Amino acid sequence: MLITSRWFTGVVVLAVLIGVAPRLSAQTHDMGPGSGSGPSRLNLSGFADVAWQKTDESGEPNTFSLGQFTLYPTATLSDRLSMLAEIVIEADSDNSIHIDLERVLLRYSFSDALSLSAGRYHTAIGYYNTAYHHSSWLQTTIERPLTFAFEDDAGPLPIHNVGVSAHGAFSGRALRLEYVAEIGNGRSSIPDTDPVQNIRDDNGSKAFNVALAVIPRSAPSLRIGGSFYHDTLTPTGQPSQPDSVFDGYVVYNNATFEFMNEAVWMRRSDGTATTTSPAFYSQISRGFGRWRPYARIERMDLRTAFSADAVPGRQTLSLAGLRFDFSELAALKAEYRHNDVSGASAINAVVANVSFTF
Amino acid sequence: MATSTVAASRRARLAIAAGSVLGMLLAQPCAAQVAAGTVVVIVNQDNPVENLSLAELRDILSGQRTYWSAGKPVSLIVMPDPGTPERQTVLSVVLAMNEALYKKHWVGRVFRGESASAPMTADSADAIARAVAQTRGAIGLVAQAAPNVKAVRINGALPGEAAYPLRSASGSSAAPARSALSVELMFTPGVLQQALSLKAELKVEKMDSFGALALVGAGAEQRKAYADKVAGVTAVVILGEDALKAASEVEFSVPIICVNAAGATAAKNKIIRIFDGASAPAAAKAVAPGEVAAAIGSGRDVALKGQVGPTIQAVLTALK
Repeated sequence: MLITSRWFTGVVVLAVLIGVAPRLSAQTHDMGPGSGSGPSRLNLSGFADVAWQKTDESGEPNTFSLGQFTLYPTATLSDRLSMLAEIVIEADSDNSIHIDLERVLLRYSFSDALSLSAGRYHTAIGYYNTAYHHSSWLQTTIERPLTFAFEDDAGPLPIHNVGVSAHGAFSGRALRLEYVAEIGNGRSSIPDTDPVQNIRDDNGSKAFNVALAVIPRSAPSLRIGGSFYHDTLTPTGQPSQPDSVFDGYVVYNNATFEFMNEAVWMRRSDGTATTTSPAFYSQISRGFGRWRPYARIERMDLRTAFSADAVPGRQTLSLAGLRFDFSELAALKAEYRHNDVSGASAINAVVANVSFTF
Repeated sequence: MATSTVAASRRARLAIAAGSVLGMLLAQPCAAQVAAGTVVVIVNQDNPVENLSLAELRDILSGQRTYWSAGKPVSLIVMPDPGTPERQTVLSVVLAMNEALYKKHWVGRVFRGESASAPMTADSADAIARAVAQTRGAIGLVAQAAPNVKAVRINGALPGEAAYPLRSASGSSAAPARSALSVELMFTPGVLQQALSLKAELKVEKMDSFGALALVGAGAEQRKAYADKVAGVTAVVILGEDALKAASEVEFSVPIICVNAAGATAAKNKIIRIFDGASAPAAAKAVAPGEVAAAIGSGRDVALKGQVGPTIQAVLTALK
């Protein structure tokens, strides 16, 4: 295993976190819930998963693969102030392990109608990105939809962002309306760099995203929403490139039935021409006790390059699988996938995955 | 939003407080009938909330609502231990979840940053009550009312009352059978003695008491919640002109029996007025208990004259 200085630093940070967490929790417990509005409480939870995969690609052996090991420390700093971080430890394609700080947010809540957050966050584009984050266990399937793949996994969307956000909800007799408004650095205009601008925005144009969702009181499992993201990229020596993402979704999700439908349009201009890349997925599942068969069909048609990995091409992925929750906090999933990639042979794969939370 | 009394005028708040005290005074025998699986929702005594709709309770316990109507945070949710009847009732009646889904729901909420922390679980009702008593903004769920905390009405009803929704399907405090007699007794402090006498005199399977002053200044939502709460009783018995005035805008869907009260009412069902003294209007028909059924048969608003207790009993029997 390659031990890099980044990796070593991460281990030190995690060791401190893990070492501190139980002590703080114990103190809070000792002080009792009466002190709930006062001192900070640090809780540390996480997710992890391991998969096995066999594809029909020639020369590809069946293989085990380590998924993401996600830690998320949370702390209540006061009645209205809280923090959340999401730290992912995962393997690169060269088998080296690295650590990513995926999210870190400080949140101040004024009321149910308004909370403000600052830090690094998952952009509230549509539904999937902020429903499951980096948790394989939380989502029904093994993988995220192609469109919502992370930036370092050939995803075309600005999944992560650094900035501030306002979010809240208004509850009426007939509807609950939720909103998110975000302003951040957006993604980098410089090719072959980390697309998430953690330290410095390479231009003065800020990315913004607005998301709305409606949940009818009469059907609380139904959620209808959409979002609009806009940024302007300024690659060196090229005209400014407006970068927009439109998303709309209808999701029905209750204890038994799950039906998720989401469509995304990614519009990118290179200064002379504008292209729109459409994508959608539709996923359905039904629970039978601990068993849950599921299926998803998705299609992504990228008509311009969004990064070195998210290149033009069309993919249609169909999958069907079975999830078995053998514990309240752990699940086994088995899945068949058929992936049609334009200009290449279709790939069939069988994947098994075990995921858990702690 | 919460149908609490916080938005009411100062006068209304005082009236509601007085009414609640009276209601609780007469409701004590009912509280003792709370069955296994019944859940009492308790809040800190400093919390002004008196009533929550089931939908509001669902929003709070699911984490979708994190503030009380007065603007203070819901700082702590204390759930009973897994496996207890109370927890099962909360999961099934309020949240429509099983234990696994409930855990997943909260893992997701905290992970998504939608809630700062998941509800706390305590292993005894004492521990839950103690946590709620010590924490402003806390809410807890216990099997029985406890000292130093405040029990909250749900959909306008307290535990033990017919319309109280937080009961397991097998709970013995379920609503009385349709053929049984059940009464909602509404009164003001001025007729407290008469209320106590009637409570002892009437032979009914179930009787809940309610301080009518709690309806003074009540908004349309509260009035509707109360009308819904009593929708399953045989009749609402309203003692005195003051109580009828307080409830005059409530659109009762069940018959009401007004004792010594001739005032207006928005009740939608049959209105039977019973007078026992000189205050009886000329139109009041003097009846013996055996003649009551025939006397109330046709008219929607009927005035009778006779002994209050036996006449009410006869009216209830006739209505059944």
